[in-house]
Amino acid sequence: MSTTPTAPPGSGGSESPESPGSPGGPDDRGPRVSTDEIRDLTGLRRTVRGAPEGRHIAGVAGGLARHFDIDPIVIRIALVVLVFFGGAGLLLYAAGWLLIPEEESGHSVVRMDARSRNFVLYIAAALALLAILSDTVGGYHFPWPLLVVGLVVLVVLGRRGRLLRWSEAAQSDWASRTGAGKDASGTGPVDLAKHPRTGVDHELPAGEPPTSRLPRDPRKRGPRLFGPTIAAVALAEGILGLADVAGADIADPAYPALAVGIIGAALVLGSLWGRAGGLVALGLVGTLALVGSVAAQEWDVTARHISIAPYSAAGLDARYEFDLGDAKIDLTRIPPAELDGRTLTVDGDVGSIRIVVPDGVEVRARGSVDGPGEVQVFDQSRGGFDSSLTRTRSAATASTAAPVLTVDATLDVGRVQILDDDDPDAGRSNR
Amino acid sequence: MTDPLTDPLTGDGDAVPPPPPIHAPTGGRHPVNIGHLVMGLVFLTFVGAWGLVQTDVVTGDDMHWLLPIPWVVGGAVGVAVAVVAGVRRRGAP
Repeated sequence: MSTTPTAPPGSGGSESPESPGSPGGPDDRGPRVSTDEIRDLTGLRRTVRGAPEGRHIAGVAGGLARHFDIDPIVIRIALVVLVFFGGAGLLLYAAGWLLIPEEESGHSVVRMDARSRNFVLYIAAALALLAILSDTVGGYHFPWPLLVVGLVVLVVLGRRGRLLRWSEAAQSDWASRTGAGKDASGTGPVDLAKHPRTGVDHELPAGEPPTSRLPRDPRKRGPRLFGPTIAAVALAEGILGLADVAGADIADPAYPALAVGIIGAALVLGSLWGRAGGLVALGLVGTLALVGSVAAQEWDVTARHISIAPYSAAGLDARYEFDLGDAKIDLTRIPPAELDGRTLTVDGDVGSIRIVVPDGVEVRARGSVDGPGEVQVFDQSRGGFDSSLTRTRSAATASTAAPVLTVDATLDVGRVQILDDDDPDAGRSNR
Repeated sequence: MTDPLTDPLTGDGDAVPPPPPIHAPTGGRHPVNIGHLVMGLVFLTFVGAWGLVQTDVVTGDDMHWLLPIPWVVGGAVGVAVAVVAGVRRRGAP
């Protein structure tokens, strides 16, 4: 690659910012990085202080700039701007920080082999794209808590790095042991492969280094299942898509559910036969998509704004509901007699409720916010968590048989107000 | 027919193919990988839970129960398999 070194992690190989294709310096006359080079993230490294691209936080932007062979300031501005698009910039930077090795040490926070790192970086890029789309297109709320869970899983997967270091140490130790283990002719077998757990003997010819001083995990035996599973998922998704296009009633969550089902079956198979490495991460991504799509399907949230000021009780429903939004209900234009015996219930999840009642009615009012928020019922108010107020306000008439109106307003989160006509806040009602 | 004891390249009749590994395991069967088993069951149970939601067998607030169930199923099976495997290891000569 012209801009990204391909030295293996841990080699401590230094990077040259110059293009190898131009011995005298960078070639500014044409494209210097091919598409294949951009796709190959194995050589991507975070820059260190003193690097030509600079380093302000963790060297992610500098490393990306070097990889794409563009000005680092462009990458930095892009990342900052993308922070405001569903946090995509933050996600990309965090993923880069966790996964991309540093150029001098070759170590990353979460250590994994190059192939897995490429895969996870592509997933992070896909999630960032999803965040941008969900923020700009206005689809569904991005499942940040689940994403945090995914990052935690990544850190756990980083424990694999210990195994890699163990293997590297075994490789370097192998050479010295080979010399010591040879017989007089130098061609005798080296007793390196006595499995410490199974006791299985493996005759290894001298001169051919084993992949590890310690034989592989006995559970890592048989064909890899990752590729065939990807193929099966692709085939199944394609068939499902064809059925969808052909007119079959396919629910949106069926797509991730199908993928998760195939991955789950492959994992169960891989627990006894073959090697199922990489499928857990793939399944977690699929499960995130499944949960998100089910949530979007089941909790179809649309903001609702209710603003009414009817002249007659006939224009007033007994109950108003909303998931997200606000309700402004002004009852002062309704003749008090028409409100006699009526009960008005307003129930919402998140938002605000403001109900203004007329003077000539006795009002039995109850306002409550189950979660955080504030309740104001006439001249009393209460804030905090799980607030509730019940008040009865007499009618402002001398009559003993004043009409009676019952008002019940409830929210999960937000502000509930039940106000007199002469309340200062009532003046802001939508009349 | 080629003499198996004759090197096909050199014609050296004394060449002997390397002996196969003694007791080397063959095939893809291996001791149970509990991590893969647990996560596989979790994913399959998630799909089953989605099936219950999709067919309206479970609706409303009852759906909250479906989120922890896959982990309970996978974890319980994983613990059980780990215990059984441990008992067998101790019982092996």
